[in-house]
Amino acid sequence: MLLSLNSMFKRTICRIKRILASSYLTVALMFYSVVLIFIATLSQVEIGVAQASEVYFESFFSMAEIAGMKFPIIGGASIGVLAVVNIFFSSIKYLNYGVSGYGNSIIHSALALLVISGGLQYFMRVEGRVSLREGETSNILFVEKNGVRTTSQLPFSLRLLKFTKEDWQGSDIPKSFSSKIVFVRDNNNVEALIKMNSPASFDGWVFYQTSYADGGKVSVLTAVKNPARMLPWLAVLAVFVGMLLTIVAKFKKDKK
Amino acid sequence: MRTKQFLFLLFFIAVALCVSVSPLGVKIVKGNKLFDSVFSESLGVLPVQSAGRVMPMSSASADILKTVSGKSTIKIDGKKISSTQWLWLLCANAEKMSNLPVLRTDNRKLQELLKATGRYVTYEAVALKNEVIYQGAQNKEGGAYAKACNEILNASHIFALASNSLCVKYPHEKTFSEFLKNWNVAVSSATEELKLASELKREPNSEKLIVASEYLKFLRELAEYENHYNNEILKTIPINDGFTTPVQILLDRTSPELSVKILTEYSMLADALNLGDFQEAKNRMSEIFKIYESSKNVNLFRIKVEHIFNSVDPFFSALLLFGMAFVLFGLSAFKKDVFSLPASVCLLVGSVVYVLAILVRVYIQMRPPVTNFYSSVVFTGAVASAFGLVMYLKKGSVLSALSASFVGMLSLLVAINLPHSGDTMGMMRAVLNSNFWLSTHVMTIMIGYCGLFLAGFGASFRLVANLFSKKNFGIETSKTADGIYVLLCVCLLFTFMGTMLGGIWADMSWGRFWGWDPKENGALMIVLWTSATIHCKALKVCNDRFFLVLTALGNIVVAWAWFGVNLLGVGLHSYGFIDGGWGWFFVYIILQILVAPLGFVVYKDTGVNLKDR
Repeated sequence: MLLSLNSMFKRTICRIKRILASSYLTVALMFYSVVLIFIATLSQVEIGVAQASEVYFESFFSMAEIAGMKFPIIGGASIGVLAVVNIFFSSIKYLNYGVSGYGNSIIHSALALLVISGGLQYFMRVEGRVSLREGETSNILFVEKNGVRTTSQLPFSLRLLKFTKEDWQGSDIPKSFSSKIVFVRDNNNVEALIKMNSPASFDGWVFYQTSYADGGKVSVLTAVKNPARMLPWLAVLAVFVGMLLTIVAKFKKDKK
Repeated sequence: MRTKQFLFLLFFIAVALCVSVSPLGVKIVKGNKLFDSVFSESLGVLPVQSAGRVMPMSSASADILKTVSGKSTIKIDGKKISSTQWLWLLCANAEKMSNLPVLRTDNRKLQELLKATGRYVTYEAVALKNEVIYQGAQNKEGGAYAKACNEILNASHIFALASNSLCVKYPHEKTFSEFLKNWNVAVSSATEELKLASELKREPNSEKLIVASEYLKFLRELAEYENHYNNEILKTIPINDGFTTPVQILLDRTSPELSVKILTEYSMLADALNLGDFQEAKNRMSEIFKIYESSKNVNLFRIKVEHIFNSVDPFFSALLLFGMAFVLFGLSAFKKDVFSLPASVCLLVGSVVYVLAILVRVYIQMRPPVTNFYSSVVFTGAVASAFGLVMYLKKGSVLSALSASFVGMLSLLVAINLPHSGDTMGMMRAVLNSNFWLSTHVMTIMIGYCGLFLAGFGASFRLVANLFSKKNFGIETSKTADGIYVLLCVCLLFTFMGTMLGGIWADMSWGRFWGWDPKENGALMIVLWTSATIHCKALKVCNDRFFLVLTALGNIVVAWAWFGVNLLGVGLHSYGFIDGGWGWFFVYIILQILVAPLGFVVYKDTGVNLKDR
């Protein structure tokens, strides 16, 4: 009796393993994601990007609503978890050596890292806005989360020295925005220039030029604290290396 | 035999070259020398500025004409004229031109209201019914009609502004040069009177001020009007560091001598055109060129290159060549020895013309080849056709040649018929103003997309060919599938890297790697679909035929990410999203879906295909 229970248990584990490593699951997850993203994109028109992300991508299960029709869906969070699990078990199943094998392993572990880093960012990332008038010093951060606006304080202050907006000659099309600012903490002043596409960082916070107001007298900066910021960058680089390895191996094999 | 083939080759190359220069030939033969001459001085080459970019007048005027009428040439008195000529005639004789049906509207109700000739209405009619149209445009529940009203109002503003872009005159004045003289006289007499009055401490004589103040009021109103449309108006008069409008030159009494000289010449030229005195007009034109050459403020060479580019119209000739190549390759399936040589020549010359055209655009703009929607379409077609051509020359597979010419043709057709949205080489907004990211992120992703289209069409053609094939096509199918598999792997590398580089760019400029923005979603959908398709074959989830079906359906995903998302932004908020090219978008999707059932086509005799992977 015990023996048969034990063997049943083993068999079940095996079966679960087989399902989790199944190539059908891999493909199904990907096709389902395409559909999920498509529906989410459509509903973004109705409920906005932030709300749609919450319903479709940041949830495990939720109710979708398109054109008045309600139906339950498996959310992006579940898909992410399943994907990581599937990648893990498939990697064991298809483990292979040689250039192509290493390539594949690198790609897939980096992809798992990418998905995980997406999850980490959801919990660890803080974003807010700082708006400064020229000459003003402030440490107030405006945070908006789930439609609720709050303020919090940065552990240091910022002073805006000068905001510059440049247009293309003879038009109102902006060419560049930049803010010259000083980070002030105790008696320690650090000057920095924040430009479009070129942020500045201080004490774990990164500041981005976002917008301006009052005809260019007020500069609006986005402040982000994100300890996991470099994870996706690393993951992407690793996937790239892995893909190159695999493709090079494939071409070499074809030539032979 | 060799010589004969060589002669044939030469003959076909000559024919293809003739086709590629045919638009230029038409311009040289039919164009007006004063306005459109390609290699010598002409009014089309004169530098002007629009939305921050300095360009030849032929580009700017084509832009304006396309915005108001949807075409780049126009028929007047039964004769087709170029946009440059139209703009000059519009400035020289605004009254006559505003009574010609030029503004286009596709809305029936509006056409009836404005007594349209076909789809075109006159500026005069719009001006007369201005209030009715304005009310129609304001109606938020007006749907397509309100949209059409808005469009026609916008077109009429562009039209009115264009009519003052080269020279100005007060409505009662006879000629432009006379107005210039009178304005100067009026201003100096008024200044003198004011000075005298302040010296003698008496009230100024209002009679001596009245003319100047009338003129001033008129010019100020125009200037205010122009300020509202700073990005749409044409600036034609060079000033210290850029360009400005005639009105600004007249209002600013400290305008540099060069600007005043050019304005005077423009005014005299317009007067000459009004009198039909073409010799005088030519003289004025050569004066203008002399002034430009002596000032050396503007890079005339680059502007000339752009003017020649406009006249050669390389995208149109490439379209013709790809069309010919496609038909000839199709015919070569029946008679290979007759048609394959001319087909290859057409594809080769077409691709060369296409790639050269893009390089010229890069030179003109000094930007990477993809900067906006239009250029993304053009670039993708070029890469796809070049890639397919290389595959064809290397492996001799007609399928890749067919796909190459088809993708090239399709992308050019789409590019030429895109709803007009201004200059296709416009200045980049601050976020996009980075050649580094434009060339890495955008080009990588576009190369990926184009490879996917190529793969998708290749797969579609194979599936369609299976339907007509009398031989056992199982081997051919798996051969094609293997080729497409490699192509997809390369594409996945490009689309994935392109998308993720976009994430890194977003992280650099907005502080977030990923934000589930519709455009990002589209890109991710492509990556996932391609990856799923690849896994289907790699992990043997389905057989080769269904792998091809999935690849073909991938075309829909790519089209959605690329075009559909734009349709969503503009479309679902407004009513008329079927107009323009969007109807074609759905036709394309339906055609692509129709390919899917072809996956069930199996070679009956042996049933080998059932067994293949």
